[in-house]
Amino acid sequence: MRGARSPLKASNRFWRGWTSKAAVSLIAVLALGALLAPYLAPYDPNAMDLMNTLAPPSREHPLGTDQSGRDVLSRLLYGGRVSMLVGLASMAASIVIGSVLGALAGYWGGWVDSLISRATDMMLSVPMFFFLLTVLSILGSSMPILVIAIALSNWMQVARMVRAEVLANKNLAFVESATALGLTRARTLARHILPQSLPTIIVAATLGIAYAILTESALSYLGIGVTPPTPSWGNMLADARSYIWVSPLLTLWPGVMIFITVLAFNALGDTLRSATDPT
Amino acid sequence: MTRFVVRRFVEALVLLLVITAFTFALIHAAPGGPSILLDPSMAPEDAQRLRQAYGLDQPVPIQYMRWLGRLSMGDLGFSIGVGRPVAELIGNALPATLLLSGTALLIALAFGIPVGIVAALKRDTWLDKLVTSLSFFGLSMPVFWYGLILIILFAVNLRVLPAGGMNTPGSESWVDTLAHLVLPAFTLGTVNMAQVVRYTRSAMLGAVKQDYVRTARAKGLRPSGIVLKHAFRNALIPIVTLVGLLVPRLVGGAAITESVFSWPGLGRLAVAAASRHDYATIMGITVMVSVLVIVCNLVADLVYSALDPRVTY
Repeated sequence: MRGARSPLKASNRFWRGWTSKAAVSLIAVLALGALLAPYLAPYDPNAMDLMNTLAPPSREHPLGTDQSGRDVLSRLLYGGRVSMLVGLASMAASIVIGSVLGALAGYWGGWVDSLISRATDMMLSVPMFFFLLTVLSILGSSMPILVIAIALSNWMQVARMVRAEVLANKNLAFVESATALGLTRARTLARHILPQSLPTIIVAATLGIAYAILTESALSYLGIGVTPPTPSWGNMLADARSYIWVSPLLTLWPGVMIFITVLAFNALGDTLRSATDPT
Repeated sequence: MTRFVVRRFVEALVLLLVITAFTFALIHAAPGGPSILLDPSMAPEDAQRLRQAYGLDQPVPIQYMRWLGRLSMGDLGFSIGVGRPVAELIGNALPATLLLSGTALLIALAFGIPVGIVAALKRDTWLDKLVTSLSFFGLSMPVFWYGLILIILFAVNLRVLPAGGMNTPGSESWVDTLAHLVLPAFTLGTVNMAQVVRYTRSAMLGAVKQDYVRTARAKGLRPSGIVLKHAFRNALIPIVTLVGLLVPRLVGGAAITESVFSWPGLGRLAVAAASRHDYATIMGITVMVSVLVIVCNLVADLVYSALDPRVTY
């Protein structure tokens, strides 16, 4: 068991197939595109050119222009920035919420555990889409609210997994020795027990980014996520929806970007999981 | 058994209270109130009168208690924005949502379970790899984009299916409704099928490893008999749980699909109500959907114990 968990073997298993290499390279390219958007984008993503709307791909506009004559390639690059940012931020928030609650429940046990576990189960049976719809339409969808709302809809799985890990690890010998050395319970938990759950948390984080990006794009598509003029892949698709009869190509690119990004993170999470947990 | 059902019922009621109280508090924390009261053409006295008529001038906890009281008598309230009872709005939208999600669930299970079984039996062959990667694609697919692509393909280019709505204006025939149902149900069904395939496959892989399957094989039973009678019946148990988990996802996915295909269901109603801050309708839909999900989970648990005699509550 401990041997199977050794980082070296896990990393060997991780790099063995081609899926992990493809996913990592794809994510690297997407991340670079998002980071370097200001340098790579040929135009200002919000610069309108009303003489040149819905233009087909050309030398000046490699992916054409949208209904306001804005360059689609530039908007895709900046949209990727927004999607990645929302994805990373809400993943981080949901991991923090989930790990803290899961660790508390697993370590303290008793009524703390019952309370947190019941709350987690309850949250799991809330129809999340309607929760997000209500929260965002009423509080208005600024970026921080969007990030927090998505995080609140996705911490439950993390909490469950971390709780199970902490329960399994809290009675091991090294924890007892930490207690014997006189460490406080909080310190034992934070420094000795929780780090054991790191592989699980990393896998959950990777899959969490995929979930967050998918959710953000769906909400933006419905007009309650990232709001125009800030480009996001979701709201670009919402705009393109009105022009499917005249320029169906507009719907292609944002969708492809969402799909391959989510696919890459899902694939990374999946290969990480089989590498860290060979059962 | 009875104790379990009672306990689950009480839990469901608590959950419903928590969800509605939270939603209620959230709605009333928003500044302004229903957008119709912000209409500048309305005289302040009229707005004040409306507020009084709907009890909006009372403290929030009292409004909530009153709302609960009416709910217990089956009254979901009145939508100020539309000028109709909420129950009527939901009653009009619910059949469309049930038709869409029901058909989608049927598609997902009818195709997903056999495909998952075959993939598990042909483990590590090209067929299994194809199925596994396709279902992986399905998990990463944005529903609304997938729907749009199907619209462009079948409605814009091939012109064989309608692009949206539930009926051609003026036509009430069920054939027409069916034609409108094909694309949204296929969209929602195939996306959820991905989850069903993955789940069935891993449940079957777990089941065929069991000792009783080996025993059955050693006794010389026909392979098809072993698969169906021994392995599948045990794999069914986790699949039932999956259906319980799938329902909230399905309802949410249905809402997005409804928006893409202009399908006149609960999801579209919810999006519209949310955008005009229509309190009563939002609360009504929240209650409706939560009850739907809670009941499905309860049924899944009961079926679970019926299928697996080892599970007693």
